Amino acid sequence: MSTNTDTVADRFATAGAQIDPITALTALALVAALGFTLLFLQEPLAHDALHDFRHGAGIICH
Amino acid sequence: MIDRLRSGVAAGAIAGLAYGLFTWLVVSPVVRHLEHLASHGGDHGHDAAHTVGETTTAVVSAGGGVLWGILLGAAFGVAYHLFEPGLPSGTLRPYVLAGAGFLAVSVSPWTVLPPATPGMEPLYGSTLRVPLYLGLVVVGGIVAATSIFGYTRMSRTRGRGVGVFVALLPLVALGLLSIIAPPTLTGGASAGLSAAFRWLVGFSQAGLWGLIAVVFRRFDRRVDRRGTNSPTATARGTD
Repeated sequence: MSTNTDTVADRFATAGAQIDPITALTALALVAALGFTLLFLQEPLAHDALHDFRHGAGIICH
Repeated sequence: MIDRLRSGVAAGAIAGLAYGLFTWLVVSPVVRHLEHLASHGGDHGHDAAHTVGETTTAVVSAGGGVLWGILLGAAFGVAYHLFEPGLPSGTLRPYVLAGAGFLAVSVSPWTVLPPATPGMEPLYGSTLRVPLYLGLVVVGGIVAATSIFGYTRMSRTRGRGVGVFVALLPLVALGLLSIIAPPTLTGGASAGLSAAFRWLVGFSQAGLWGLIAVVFRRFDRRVDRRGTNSPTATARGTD
């Protein structure tokens, strides 16, 4: 495990310096798209096909 | 950062495969059976007319389980890297974060919107439930953060007992919310069956998070040994 010399703020600062905004936005968009499809997509075909998963994961929006 | 993301996705993929298998072998048959019961018990379930076949549903749902694991694993890896210095207790850190994730993503929404047993009908439309769900995830995140922050703060100055007590306060508040929240579901199976199904759901989600934490810790230690063993933790993020 790593040492405890840095703080959460340091980690955010380092991440902000190393990763450019476009990359971060792309990653965020991908995650949002995947999350939306799995959890909230109400389109009947996708909705019904994911039906068991949503029940099993306790996701309410099924 | 990238190393942590990689470990997180790998851990999520492994945990997701196990969870997808679980969805395939356990959840799908149980859901199928409970729906069968509900539709024969007089009030027909909300899915009397499926637009896709049972096999497709089972396959896509299992795949959804795998993707769910990967999604949580990726989020876990990034969050672990960013919040690691703030998490308590050395080797227990991945488990603390997994607990926080479970609390935010699953437990907190369940306080108002409990898992629906097959055959139950939601009382409100999805236009209300989706924002409510997202809002409760945010609430869960705040509760987890307050709890962890309170623990680290208090245990440093007043000792571990006070720390644990302070950490429990936001959790109790969340528990109270589940008691005062109005019901959001109606109908469905008997109370006992419904409770059993909820425990199944709860344990499977907790298991998924736990597995992510265990596998993540293994991968993370391997990265630690192989690569930057230097004392500066920031050196890890440079590759």
